[in-house]
Amino acid sequence: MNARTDIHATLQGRRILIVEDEMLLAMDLESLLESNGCDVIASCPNIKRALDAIDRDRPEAALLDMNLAGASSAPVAEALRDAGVPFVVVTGYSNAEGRAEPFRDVPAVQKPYREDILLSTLASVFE
Amino acid sequence: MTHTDDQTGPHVAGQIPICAIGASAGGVVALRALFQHLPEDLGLAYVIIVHLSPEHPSALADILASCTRMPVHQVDDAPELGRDRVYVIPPDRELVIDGNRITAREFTQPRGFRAPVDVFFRSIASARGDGMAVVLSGAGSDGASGVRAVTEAGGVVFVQDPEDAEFSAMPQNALTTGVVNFVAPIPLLAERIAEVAQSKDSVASIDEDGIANDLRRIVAFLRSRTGHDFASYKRATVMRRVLRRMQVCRVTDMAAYAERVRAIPEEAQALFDDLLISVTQFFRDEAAFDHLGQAIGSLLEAPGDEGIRAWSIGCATGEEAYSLAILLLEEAERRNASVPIQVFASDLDEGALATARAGRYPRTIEADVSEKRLRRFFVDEGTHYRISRRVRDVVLFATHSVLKEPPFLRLDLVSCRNLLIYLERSLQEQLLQLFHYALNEGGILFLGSAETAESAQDHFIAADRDARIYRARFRAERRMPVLPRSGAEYHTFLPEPARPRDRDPDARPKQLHSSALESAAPPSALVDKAQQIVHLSPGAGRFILHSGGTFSGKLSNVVRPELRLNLRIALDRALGVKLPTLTLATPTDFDGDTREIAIHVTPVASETSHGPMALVVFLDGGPYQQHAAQDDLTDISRDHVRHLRTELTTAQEALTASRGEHETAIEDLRAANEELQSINEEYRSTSEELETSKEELQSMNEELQTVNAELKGKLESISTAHSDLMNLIAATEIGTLFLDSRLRIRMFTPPMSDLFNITDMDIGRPVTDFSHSLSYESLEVDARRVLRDLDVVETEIQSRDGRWFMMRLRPYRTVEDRIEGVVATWVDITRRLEIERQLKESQEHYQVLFNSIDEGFVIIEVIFDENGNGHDYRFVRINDAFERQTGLRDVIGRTARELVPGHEEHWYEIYGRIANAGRPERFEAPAGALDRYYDVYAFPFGERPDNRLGVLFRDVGERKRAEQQRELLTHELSHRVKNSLAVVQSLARQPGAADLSVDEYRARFLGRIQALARAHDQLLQTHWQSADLRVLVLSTLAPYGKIGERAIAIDGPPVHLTPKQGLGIALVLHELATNASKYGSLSSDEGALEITWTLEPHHDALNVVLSWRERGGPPVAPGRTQGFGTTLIQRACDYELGGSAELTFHPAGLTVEIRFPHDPEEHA
Repeated sequence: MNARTDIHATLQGRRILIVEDEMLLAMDLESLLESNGCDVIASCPNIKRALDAIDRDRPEAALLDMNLAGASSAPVAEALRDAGVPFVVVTGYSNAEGRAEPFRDVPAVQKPYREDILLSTLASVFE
Repeated sequence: MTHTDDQTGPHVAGQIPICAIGASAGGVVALRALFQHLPEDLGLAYVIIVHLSPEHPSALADILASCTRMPVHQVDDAPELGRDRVYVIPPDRELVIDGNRITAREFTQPRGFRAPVDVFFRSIASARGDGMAVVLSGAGSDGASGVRAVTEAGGVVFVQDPEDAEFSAMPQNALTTGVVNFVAPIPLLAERIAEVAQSKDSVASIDEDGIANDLRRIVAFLRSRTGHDFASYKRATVMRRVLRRMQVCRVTDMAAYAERVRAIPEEAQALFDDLLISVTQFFRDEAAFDHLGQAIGSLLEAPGDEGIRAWSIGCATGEEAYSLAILLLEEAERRNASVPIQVFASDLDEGALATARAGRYPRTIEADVSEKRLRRFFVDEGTHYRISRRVRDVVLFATHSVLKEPPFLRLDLVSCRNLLIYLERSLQEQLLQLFHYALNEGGILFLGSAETAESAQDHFIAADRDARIYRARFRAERRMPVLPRSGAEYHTFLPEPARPRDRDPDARPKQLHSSALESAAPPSALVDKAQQIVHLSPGAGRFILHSGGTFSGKLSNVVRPELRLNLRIALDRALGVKLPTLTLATPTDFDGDTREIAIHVTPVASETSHGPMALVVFLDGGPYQQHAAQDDLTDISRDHVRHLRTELTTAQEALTASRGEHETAIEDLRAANEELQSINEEYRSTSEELETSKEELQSMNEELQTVNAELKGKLESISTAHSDLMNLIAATEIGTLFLDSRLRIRMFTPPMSDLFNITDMDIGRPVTDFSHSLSYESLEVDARRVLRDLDVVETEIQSRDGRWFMMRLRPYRTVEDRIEGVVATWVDITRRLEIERQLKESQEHYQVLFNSIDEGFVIIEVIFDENGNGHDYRFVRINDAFERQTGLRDVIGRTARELVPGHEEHWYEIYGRIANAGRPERFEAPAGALDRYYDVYAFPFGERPDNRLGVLFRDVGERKRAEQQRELLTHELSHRVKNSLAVVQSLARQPGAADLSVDEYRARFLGRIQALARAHDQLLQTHWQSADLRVLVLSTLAPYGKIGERAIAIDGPPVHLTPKQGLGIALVLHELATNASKYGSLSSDEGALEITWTLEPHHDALNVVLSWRERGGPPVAPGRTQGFGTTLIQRACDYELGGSAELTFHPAGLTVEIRFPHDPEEHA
């Protein structure tokens, strides 16, 4: 319970960027994060929009789908890293080894995700 | 002979002393014995000369090498001599020496005349001036002339004792030269050689100046001992002889030798002999010869019936005889006189005569013979001159003793030079008389420069005193003087030591008495049996009064006429009945003074063989008293006297007639004698030819002996070879058949009797006569073909019992490369053929296997870099599948780097490792350059050093790609499924309206999922490549009634959407349709729906503009428009389509206009 409280506290007011090509999922994540106190600054279905958002909105953290409509989101990951923005990978791929370089050593959450795990993972990037 | 030439070469320091050994028949044994006894450290170089057959190699060197530790060489080139080494003559060569080098050269003489021992001995004599010559066992006379030259040059001569020698002729001939220093059996000979070799060194070191006194003493001893004064001889010559004698006597001190000469008469004699060694030369005393030439001229002007006949006495090696012949020929030519010329040349020395007969002289004669004469009368043979045939034919050589045997007769010229000086004076005179007897009247006697014929002035007059040329005086009475027959001591012409001369007359009382008697006794004369005057006492001449007419020496003819009758009667008595007579005193007229002379005749017993003699003593009775005679006369009747006178005259006439008859008889006898002499000469000439033939035969015999010995050796080796061959034949077990050129069996090996029905008895019969067990009928044809073409026939033949044979027919070549038949061999190859067949079969099997497998197989040869790592590899062999598996062609012999640039390095590394480790490996590896991926099994192949590998491989690229694809798909599937589940999850989480019942929620949830599923179906049909807008619209609206049945109109151009757009549109349409069916135009039967879309240009691209228009439905309640559905539609248009949606709630119905980019790329 304490952990849950801590997570909630940690996430309060955090400006979060969501990069997810599935609209329904993006909407779901938005509602989850917002209901936990986060400020979802943007949800981006493709690389272009994601890069624009990073540049424009300077998020504190990001949730990043590895696959954006069949294309790798590695450029986004690199941009995040370059901008010093921590992020959590949300992916349907199960094999951590198979991840491309920018996704390595990054916290990951498997789809379909459990909300608590997603939240605690996201919170962990602020520690 | 009074002069010896100083022709020896200088004693060069460093010359290696030579011991030259000549031998022939029996020589091998003698040589072996000699070398077994010789010490090996004498410092001599031994050169061995034997008579070898020219056609056979010699094993002499090997034989000798086994007898001595000294190195033995056969002289095949021109080796430098070394001390304590043995050099052996090669076959068909003679040796000569030059400095310290001996050279083997071609024989200069034809076979049968060769004398290699002489050649070499003479060569060392002229080149070295000393050396040792050894003559061992042998037949013939080779070496005899050589030892003479060696002695002359100052060398020492050793001869094997003839009794010790197997063949005694060679030693014997050497001995007859009289110059041999040592004669001994082999062991002793070896000792002597060693002693001389050792003393040689010390003798050589004598200082010649320091011993001048000793030399003078020696000459003085010689003079007193022999009467011959050598003081005028060249000192070097005398010195050399003395030194040689010192060596021979092993005396090293000159003073000691002088003492020896004084003390030992034999030594003085030996030295004397040495000093007198003959050197004859051509035209010796050339001036004398010039004079002789002039004298000869007169002979040629009036030649006798027999032409010119000359006699050279003591001709030795013939130079003088040839000189005479040349001179005669020259003179005859100058006078254009074609006169037969005959020169007899005699000597006792057989050896010298052999040389003379050969007529072959060293080039040194150039010094004596003018170039013109050399050209005309000699043949240049390179190292030698040979006397020309023309001169040779003129000269006849014979062994002859002038002292012992009758002389040649009717001669025009007698040359006897340097012989008389060795003879006693009386003997000289007798010889001169003999020469006179032999010469025609006016014939020439040619003597040596130290000789004279003055002692026989009544026989010869000097024609040229300086040149010692004399002419025979005419003498009516010519008698052959009787020479002492005890001539053994003269036999060898060895000069006798002078008889001791007693100068004191008191020592001879007998002679004193005789001379006293002679002076006091009445005059007397000694007559021989023929009443010839032998001797007259000093006063006896008074009683001689020779009448006119032919001169006579008969006392009774020449005594004063008054005494003749009485004397004749008295002599007859004395010589006939041996009674003394004293005649009456007869008045005898002495140039007007008449004296009474009585004669006393006494027979004398002769000590000699001259027969009875008589002494006639003339007794002078004083002046004649005329009266006393007168008185006597009165007593005797005058008639009686007349009668007596008549009788006397008659008797005298009868006597004269009988004397005439007697003279005629003598003349007849003389003629007969001359006839016999000439027959004798014929015999001599024949004898000489026989002599020459004998020499040739001996020489041939020598060679035959040697050849025989070598043949024996060869026979042994042949017998060994034969036995080797027989064993070889037995060991190989190859059937071999030797046929001659007419295909008759010459020989066969035992295995042949398996094939042919032949036995040893059948040798010599034609092979075609025999049956055999071969399926082969053309043996004869093939054999003849081999003989014709000299080619080899090789074929495989089966025998009737099923065996196979490899048959070869080859020409039979003798070692002389003549074809003398055919050699056939049969080798049993049955087993080999069987194995070959199996092998072939097996190979075929493997070949088929090799090529029929689907895997590629290749044998490669790994190439290493300098660090021993695999760097490349070469293709050695491939199978058929190789090309299929690699796509490479023509690879054999080429390398991988050459054929496949960019081939990955791991191939070279792996193959290098396998070759190095020798262990097989299995691996999979990509070959990018070939765009293939291989499963490989590579293993070491063959021997290690070849670095070969066998590589079995298969292209597994297809499988690999399939695997990768599958993996990708699996991965993708997982992603999609999880993504879909996440979508479903989010759908489930969508908040609904608060009034929403569970059923309604469920229906909405399922509807959305179905819409998504349908969109998925659509996408699946196009493999997720694109979605057709029309199809999407139709399928989305399908649950709401058939298009056309309901008032649903659809219109628009064909538009393809991306999968993502497709899903988005499907979701949006589903939401709109759901709403319409609940609240809009689809909820009533009157309602209509129109869905249209167009493509509108937007900037550079196209926009899809889709409009949704509802009509005829229930009135629109604006509240309905808020909620999840509207949000979803707008988010979807933005999020999924990259476009926008505008919803307008007209009262007539909802209108929605959706715009989004057509180009999927633009959208992405």
